[in-house]
Amino acid sequence: MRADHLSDMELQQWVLDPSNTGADHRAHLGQCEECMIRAGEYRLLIAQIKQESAPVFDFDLAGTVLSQLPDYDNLVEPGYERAPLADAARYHRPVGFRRGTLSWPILLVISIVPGGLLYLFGKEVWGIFSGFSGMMLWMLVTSAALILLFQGMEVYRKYQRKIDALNLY
Amino acid sequence: MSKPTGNNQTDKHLVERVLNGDRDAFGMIVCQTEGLVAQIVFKMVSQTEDRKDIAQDVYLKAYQGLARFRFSAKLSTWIGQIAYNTCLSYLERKKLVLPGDGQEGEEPEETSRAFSGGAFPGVSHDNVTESTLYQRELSAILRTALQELSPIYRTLITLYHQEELSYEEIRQITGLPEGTVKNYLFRARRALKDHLMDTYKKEGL
Repeated sequence: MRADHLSDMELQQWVLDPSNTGADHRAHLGQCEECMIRAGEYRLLIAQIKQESAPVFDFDLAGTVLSQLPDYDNLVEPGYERAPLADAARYHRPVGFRRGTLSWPILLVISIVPGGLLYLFGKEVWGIFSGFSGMMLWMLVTSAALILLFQGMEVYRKYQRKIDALNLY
Repeated sequence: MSKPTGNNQTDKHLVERVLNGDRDAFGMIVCQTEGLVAQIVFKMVSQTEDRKDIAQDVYLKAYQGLARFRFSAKLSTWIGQIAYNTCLSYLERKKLVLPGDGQEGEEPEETSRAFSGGAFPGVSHDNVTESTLYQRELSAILRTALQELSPIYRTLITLYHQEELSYEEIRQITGLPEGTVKNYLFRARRALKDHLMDTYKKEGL
């Protein structure tokens, strides 16, 4: 039998699912008044939570929502087609537009702008760095690249979190 | 409390009717799931005046996204997920207390040790409920304790103990890993129990 008292985690597990409690825990509980009292507190709490009345909206939710619903067909934007109902993976699928299509023009613009600036002011830019030693130059380039990389990763992570929040199965 | 829909065939039938333009079928979906949505909205959003808008928003989103529902979960779970995410966006927008903030980083402490002499020394559990802590008082203390929890903890406690959802269903609704759900539930129960016992000690109920 265990000599020390059961932790809160173990007590909760015992209260929620006694059949899944180990023999040494059960033996301890059978003889330890303190642990039994603490388990009793949890039992009391859980019983009380179950007894709490469920909240209800104080207005006719179904009626209010139904009065605001647009026609279903109007929801389907032009250029979208609905998959057949028999298809389990039914969802609005854009026609002629694939995920990620928009990212290419954005990347193009992002590359063109600095490229254009370098073309126009390349000599001046090179003049700034020409005084630097090779090692210093590489350190600058590496630092800038790493900062950009980490920032890009952070932006991507935030984007993914937003997308996950919108995941509708 | 109206229990949400659980039958996949019923879900499919209802969704099919809605997609074919039957609005009454959507009304049935609302009626069947509003209990769960109310639990989530009431536990996540304290501002009474905002709850109505959020509840309507949840169902409008569900209606608009119904064609994308793929039946990989129960319809009620899916609507619960929309309700949860809508409330979460609301909390983020309002910069209100976010899930588990404050309590998340806390190390589990054996706070109940403060009562290790026994919160009710020498008194059995049955005696406590019957003669000392009156039901109404206990309920009021619990409600206060629940209000002091973070919205996520409150919601998890409700979904698990009142709505009797499984860890998997709660995971689907909240998007939290199952381990995190269990951990948050453990912390929430311990905080509630500590609050309950603390109040008992202070007020000498």
